[in-house]
Amino acid sequence: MEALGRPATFDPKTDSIVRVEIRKLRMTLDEHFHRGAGKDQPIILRVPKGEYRLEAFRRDSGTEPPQAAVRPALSRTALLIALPVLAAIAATLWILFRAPEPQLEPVQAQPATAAALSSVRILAGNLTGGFSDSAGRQWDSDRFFEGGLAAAQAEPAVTNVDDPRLYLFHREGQFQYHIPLKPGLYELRLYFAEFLYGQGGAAGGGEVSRLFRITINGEAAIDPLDVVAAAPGRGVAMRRVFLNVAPAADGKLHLGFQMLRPDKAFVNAIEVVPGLKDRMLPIRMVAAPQPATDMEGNLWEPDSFVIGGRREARSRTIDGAPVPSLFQSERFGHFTYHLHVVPGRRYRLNLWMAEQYFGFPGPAAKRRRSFDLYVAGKTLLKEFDPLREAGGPGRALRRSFSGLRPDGLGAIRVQFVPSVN
Amino acid sequence: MGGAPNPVSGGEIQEAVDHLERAGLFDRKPNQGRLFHHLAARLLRGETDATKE
Repeated sequence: MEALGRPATFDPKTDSIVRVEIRKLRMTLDEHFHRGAGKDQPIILRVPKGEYRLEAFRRDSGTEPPQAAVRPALSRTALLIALPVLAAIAATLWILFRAPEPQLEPVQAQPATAAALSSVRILAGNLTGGFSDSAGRQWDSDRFFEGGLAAAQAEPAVTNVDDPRLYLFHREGQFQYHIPLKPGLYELRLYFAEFLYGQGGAAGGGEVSRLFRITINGEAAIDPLDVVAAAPGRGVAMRRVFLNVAPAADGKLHLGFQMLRPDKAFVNAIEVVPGLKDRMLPIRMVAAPQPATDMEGNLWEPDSFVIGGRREARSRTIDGAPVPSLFQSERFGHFTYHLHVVPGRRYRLNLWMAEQYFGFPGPAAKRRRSFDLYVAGKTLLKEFDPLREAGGPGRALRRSFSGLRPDGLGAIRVQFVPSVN
Repeated sequence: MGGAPNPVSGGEIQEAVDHLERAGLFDRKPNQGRLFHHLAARLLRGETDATKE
């Protein structure tokens, strides 16, 4: 099946991946249209049992066939329990942040209503049209705004994220968004990249050049925000995350962007997703240009908010890899992840790595690498040799660090510094 | 397309597909999302896979 990288001539009798995915898709659609947010939709889409195609039926026409027997979908709670750890790699690298740590088995991982809540993704200032990002999420053109001006970004795109299209436009000035939402708890993510102020920018300056306030339903949420300081730098993408966000009494989420000094407030993109009470959704990243999905269906996004290093595809089979697709690429060298989280909380960082270059037969057989890992001024790893620690090349290795606190600008900055190779 | 007559128009199918997109049903299920859009495109083109599971 082309959609899963299979040729049109694939044989589903022998291709278990396609067979498994089609079964999951059948259950997902059935759950959605009969018990989920789509239970009132006039048109029902389903995958007939035993077939590889979609069918469409009008709900009130009486033509809908009986539902396939559906196993109850795993709850989000179950997914998180089944996947209590995860990680990142220095040779091969993925990262998971979960907040607050170290609740390995959350009792209530997802509000009961969350399955019925929808996500909203808005490209502020983009009046031309939306797109699907590299992880398959749909971003819509600008909407629900009041005031301000839409502006395009003439500068080259940001380079520290996997998908710079979020930062090509912005809305600026003094403005508001009134986003209709179903009642429930959401996580709000606001995306920014400053181009006007900072070294090399048209207006010069840098930190403290542009400060603005953000309000949520009339309450100050950030006061002030200095994008150049938090990113850090000009032309560097960043985001801020807010928990326990809910629509106001009128059914809308009201976001205010108020200029302080000396220039306009701005925002590049707005994302509202079903959230967890008092907890940030895990950040899962894989050092690869394409996303990955683990055995529990969790999405691992291409790594972003990272400066430095080099991302390289790898093809070795890794012993002990919990999810082999997470080891098909790596970031190596000297690099720093700027992981923007909710301030005032503690987080756990899990790193997965495997040495895929040194130690194998060939010119690098006798050579090694080692590196230091720093977070918030503390040394978490010193002269760490993943080959030695794993007991050989091509073996998965995990390191976990708890109790990490973000800095005053709301980020945990994970710095990898080579000591040898 | 094969099977029972489909009384739903292409526009209505497209609306249903857009609804799922906006609902974020596949936000955390990219494999299912790709598979869904592949099958939806075939449905909209009036094609079908005769292959049985």
